[in-house]
Amino acid sequence: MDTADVVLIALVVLAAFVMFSISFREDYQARLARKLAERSGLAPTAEQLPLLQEKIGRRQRGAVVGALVAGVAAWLLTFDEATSDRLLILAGALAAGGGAGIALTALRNASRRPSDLPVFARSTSVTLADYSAPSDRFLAWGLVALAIIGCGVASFLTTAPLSPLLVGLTVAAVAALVFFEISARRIVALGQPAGSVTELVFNDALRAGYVFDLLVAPITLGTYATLIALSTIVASLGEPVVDAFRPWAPLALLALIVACSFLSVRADSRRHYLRRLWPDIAARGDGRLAVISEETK
Amino acid sequence: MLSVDPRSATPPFEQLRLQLLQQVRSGQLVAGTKLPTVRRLAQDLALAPNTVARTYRELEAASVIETRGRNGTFVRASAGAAEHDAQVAAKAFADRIHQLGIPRETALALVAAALA
Repeated sequence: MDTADVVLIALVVLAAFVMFSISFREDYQARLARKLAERSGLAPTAEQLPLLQEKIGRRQRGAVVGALVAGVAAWLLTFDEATSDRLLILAGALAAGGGAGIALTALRNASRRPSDLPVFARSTSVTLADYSAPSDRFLAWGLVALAIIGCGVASFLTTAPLSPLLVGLTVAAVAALVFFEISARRIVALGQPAGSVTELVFNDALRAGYVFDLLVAPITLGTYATLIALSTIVASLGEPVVDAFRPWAPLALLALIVACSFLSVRADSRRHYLRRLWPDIAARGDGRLAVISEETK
Repeated sequence: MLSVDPRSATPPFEQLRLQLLQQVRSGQLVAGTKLPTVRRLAQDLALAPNTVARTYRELEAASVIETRGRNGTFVRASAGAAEHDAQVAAKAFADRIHQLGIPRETALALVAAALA
């Protein structure tokens, strides 16, 4: 282990420590709760706020612990790889570990309510499609499919065996997508005992957040694997193609990022659950935080 | 929305049965709507699964809902076909009105004008 390894691991551990510690601070939790409330268009009541903040803090700690364990393990297990490859693996491991941590936190901390208080529940069945926007899932499935196709084309065009990094990232992207599909469904299937309609809306908001966070890993890993497969394909076509491709590559990457950001904003996928499960709240859309009555639904 | 008050004199099973029945009769739950599983609804309402199962059995016996094997439990299309179609159309209209952010009174006035 050289100095750069020690410095990088120290930085990752320090960042994780800060993120972990700050998640216990009430003012920080309150800020995150406010953001969630603004996104949902709902104002939490004074009784709901502590529980909401606690859940938000727990979610951040789960993500930090998962990312730290996966990140350090990935860094320590890839000593033989080039530094640029290791950084790519580290970024992928942080995304995958964070997602796994969030999933475990959500599954281990199902809500419980005292049995002597009135409880509210929706009378219709919900599915993953109610919490995850089609555009987000399409992006994840599309990128993972592109990575697999890229791998196939690259192996067809090159005589040498595919790089272990490309194969590893593609396998990891597929695994992350499978993990998302299984764990997100399990999260959606968990019970939601709620003492008020507002609590149920916030529970839905948190749930949609968990599902969204779980998609980050397959999208990140799928993007990396697709880009590496693309560069392998271009390299296999010979020096003139590489020279012609090189000046356009950064621009193409930038255009891809801008297009994805534009589509994401346009689809407004973070409010998808509101449109599906709480259309009357979503329809307001005037930026005001509203306190809803129990008769709303 | 369903609500169960454990402090109420009415047993939880009856509270649940009456609310589901009222929602089906009012058209809030249209024919073909999938209901939560027994286990899920029991978790949500902090009830014993047997309580929810009994509610579903009673409503099924009254032809209000039906269980389609492993596909789940659905609101039964017990009303006539025309009434069912009207319920579906009304639900679609209500969803669109919510999306457009049109007030309830305006929407009802539009329907009254269209029917006139």
